[in-house]
Amino acid sequence: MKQRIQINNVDFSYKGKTELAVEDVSLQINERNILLVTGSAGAGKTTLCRLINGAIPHFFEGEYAGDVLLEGKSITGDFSTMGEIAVLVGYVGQDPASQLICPTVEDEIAFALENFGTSPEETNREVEEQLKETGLTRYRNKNPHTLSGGEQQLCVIAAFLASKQGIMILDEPTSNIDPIGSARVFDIIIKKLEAQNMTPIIVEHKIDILAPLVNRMVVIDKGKIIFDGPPRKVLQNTEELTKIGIRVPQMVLLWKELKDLGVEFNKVPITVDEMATCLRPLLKRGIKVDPIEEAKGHSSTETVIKAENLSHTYPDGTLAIKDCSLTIKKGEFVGIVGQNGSGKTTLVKHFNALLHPTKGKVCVMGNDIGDFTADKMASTVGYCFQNPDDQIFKDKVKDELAFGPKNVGLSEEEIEKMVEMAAHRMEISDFLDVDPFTLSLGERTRVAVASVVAMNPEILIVDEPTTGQDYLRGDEIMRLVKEFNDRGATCIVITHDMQLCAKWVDRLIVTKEGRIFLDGTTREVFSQGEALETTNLHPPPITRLGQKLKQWLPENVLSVEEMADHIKTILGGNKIEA
Amino acid sequence: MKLKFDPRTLVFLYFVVFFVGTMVYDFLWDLLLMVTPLAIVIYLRNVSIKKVLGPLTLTVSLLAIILFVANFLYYPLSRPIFNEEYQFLIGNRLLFTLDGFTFGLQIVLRFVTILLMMACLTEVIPVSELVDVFHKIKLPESLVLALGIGLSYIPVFITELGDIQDAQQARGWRIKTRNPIKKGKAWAPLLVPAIKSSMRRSELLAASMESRGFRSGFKRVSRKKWKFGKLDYIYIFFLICIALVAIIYGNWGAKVAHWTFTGDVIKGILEVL
Repeated sequence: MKQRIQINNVDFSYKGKTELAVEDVSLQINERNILLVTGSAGAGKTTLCRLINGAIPHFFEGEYAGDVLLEGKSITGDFSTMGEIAVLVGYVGQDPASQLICPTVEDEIAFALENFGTSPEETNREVEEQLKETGLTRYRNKNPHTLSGGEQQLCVIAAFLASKQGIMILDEPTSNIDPIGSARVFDIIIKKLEAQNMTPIIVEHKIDILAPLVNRMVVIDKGKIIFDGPPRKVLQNTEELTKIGIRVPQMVLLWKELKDLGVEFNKVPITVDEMATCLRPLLKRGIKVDPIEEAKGHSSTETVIKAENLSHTYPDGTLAIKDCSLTIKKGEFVGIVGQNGSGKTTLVKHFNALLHPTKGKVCVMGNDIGDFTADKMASTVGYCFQNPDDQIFKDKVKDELAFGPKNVGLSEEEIEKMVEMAAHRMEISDFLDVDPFTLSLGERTRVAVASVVAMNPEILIVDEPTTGQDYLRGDEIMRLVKEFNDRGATCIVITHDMQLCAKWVDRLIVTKEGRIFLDGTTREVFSQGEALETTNLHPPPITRLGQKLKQWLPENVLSVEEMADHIKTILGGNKIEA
Repeated sequence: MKLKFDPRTLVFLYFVVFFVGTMVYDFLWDLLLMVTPLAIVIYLRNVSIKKVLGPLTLTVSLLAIILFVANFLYYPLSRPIFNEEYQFLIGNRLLFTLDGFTFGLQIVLRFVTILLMMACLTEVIPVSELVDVFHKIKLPESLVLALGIGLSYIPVFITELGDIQDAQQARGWRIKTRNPIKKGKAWAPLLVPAIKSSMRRSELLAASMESRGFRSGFKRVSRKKWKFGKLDYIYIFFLICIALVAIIYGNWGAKVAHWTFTGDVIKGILEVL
C-alpha cells in the first residue's frame, strides 16, 4: 500500500508562545486510510492539519522540529512554498467566509484548477460537475459571500472536490450545516474521494456521523496522539474519551452500560441501526415498557414574553418570520432549534428590541417592545451573540464585564459587585486581569456570557453557545446557563445540538420556514421524530433507538441512563449472552 | 435574454459615461448621452433596475433636496421668479430668482442622473467581469486578486459590522455624547472587534489562497476566453459617437452643452404656466 503521509517525531510551538501545540507526533497515513482526527478544542488538531498541508512551517512561523514527508518528499527540504504543496494536499477549514476568494461561485470552484494550469475545457467541465453535485448551479454567478453559511460551506467543498489533490484535509467542514445536511455532505465527500483514490483526513467533533464512515480514528489531547486505530476499537475507551471532552456516540455509551450489565455483543454498535439489530433478539424475550411519564409543566404563571401574530419582513423583502405566537413564563429554560434560515435568530431579536415586528406585537415584562430600543432593554433582556469576538473589545476581562453595567448607568460600587458576581457565576474569576484575546474560544464564550450576566438581566438569551466548542465546553456553558436559570432567570438558548437540549432544556420550540412548527416539553418534541426530520433535524440517537424499537421501548427516552434502565427492566436484571 | 458583451466593452462604457458626466453640463444632454448607451446594455443584459435603484431612493431624495435648496439660494443673478411682493430679501440681497431656481433644479437633475447611472453600471458590470478585465490588461496577478477580494469582501464586512453593532447595543451601548472626541472614542466597541476580525480573516484568506495553489509570479490558466464579437464592435462604435458628441458640445461651449438649454426649457414651461 502506498504511503501518502509520514510524520516523524514533530514538535511545534507557534511564534510568541512557549507551550508546544503538538509534541512528538508520529503518524503514517496510507492511500487506503479514511481518517477521522478528533480531540478537544485546542488539542492540536488544526496544527496537525497545518503540518500536513505545509502551512507549518511555510506560513505560520514558530519552533519546528522533526519532519513531514508527503509521497516521500520532505515538506521542509523538497518544497519551498505552500503553493507547491497544494498540488498534493487540499484543505477546507471551518470558517467558509475566510476561504472564499473569488467574486462568483463558479470562479471559486475554478480557482485551484486555474492555479494548477488545468486546461480551460477541463476546468469548465469540472466546474459544471461540482455545481451539479452540490446543488449550487442556481447560485453560479452570485458572490459567494452573499450566500448563507451552509451554502458557503458547500461552495468551499465544491471547490475542494474539483481540485482533486491526492490528500484532502477537511477541518470541521460542516460546522454551519444542520445535522441531517452534514451527514449527507460527509457521505458525498467520502464516496467521491474513495472513488478517485484520494485520502481524506477529516477533523471533526461529529463522531456520531463519521465513525461509521471512516476506517481509522486518531484522538489528540494536549498536542499528543493518545489513540489511533479503527473507530470501533478506539471508541471502546469511553471513560478516557469523555474525560478529555470527546462526545462518544450514545450507542457506544449504551453498549458500555449494557456490557456492565453483562450483555455482550459480537461487535461494538456505533449507529442506531446497528444497536437496534443487536437489541431486537434480546428484547423479543421481554415485555414492552410504558412511555416515560412527563414531569409536570412549568409552575410559574407569570408571563415574561408574549408574541402575538408576530411577522418580520427585512428591508430587502425577505419574510423571515410569519405569524408566530408564543408565551414564555418566568423561570423557563427554553431551547429554540430549527434548520439554518428557519427564523430562530430573527424571532429572538424581537425579545430585546434589536428588531421590531413589521406585523403583530411582542410584549416583554408587560411592555410593548415597539416603544423601546435595544440599549434600553439591555438591563432586562441579556442577549449573548454566537461569536464572542463580535463583542469583546477591552484589554482586560474585568473591563469587558463592566461595559454593560456601565452603559445601563450603575454606580461604580454596583458595577464592581456585578462584575464579581458574573465572574463567579461563569467561573472566570481567575481571569479578571487577563487580556480576553489571549483566552481560548471556550473561555472567551464564558467571558461574553458573563458580560451579559453582569447586567443581571431577568431574561437571558444565548445564541449558539456551543458552536466551535467541543462537547465538554459546550456542556459546561449550558450548565452555567442552567445555574443562572435555577436562580430564577428565564433562559432561552438557540442551538443545533440536540443532545445538549435533551440534557438541559425544559421546553423546546422548533421553527420551520419562519413559523413555529413544534412547541412543547423537550420529551414531547423529541418523541415526534418524523415531524422533526422534516426540518432537517434528528432527535438524539438514543431517542431514535427507542423509536426504532417502539414495540418494546418508549419513544421519548432522553438519555443513555434512562434507556439502560428500561432495557434492564425488560431483561429482568438477568445476565444474558447475546 | 442575457447577451454577452466582452467585459472590456463594458469597462469602456464606464469611461464614456464618466466622460460625458464631466464634459457636458446641461441636464437634458447629459440624460440623453448617458442614459441611451446604458439603457441599451440594461435591456440587452436583462438587468433589474428596481434592484439597483430601490435602496438608493431615500439617499438620493435627501441629497437632491439639500442640493436644490443650496443652489437655489446661492445663484447670484437677479431675474426675479415671482412678482415683487413675493420676493424674499435679506438686507438688499434678493434670494429667490428664476435663474437660481432653474440652476438649482438642473444641478439636482444632473447629480441624480450621474449617481443613478454609476449605480446602474455596478450592476451592469459584475465584479467578476471587472476582475477579468484587470487580468486582460495584464495587471499583476496579486493586485488583481487583492482588488477582487476587496470588492467581494464589502458585503461581508457590512454584515459583520451589523452583528457587532447588535451585540454591543444588546449590552446597552449607544452614542450619547455630542463631543466629537468622546464620540470618536465611543466607536471603539464597534471598531476594535471589526478590525481584529478583518485582520484574522485576511491571514486565513492568504493561507487559503496558498493552500489552493496560488503562487505569486506563477502564471494561472484562465478558464474564460473573452473575445470581441460583432455586438461589441457595433456598441463600441456607438460609444465613440457619444463621446464625440460630448467633446464637440462640451469642448466648444455650444449652447446645448451648457446650463442654458435645460434652463431655457424650464423657464419656457414656467412662463407658459
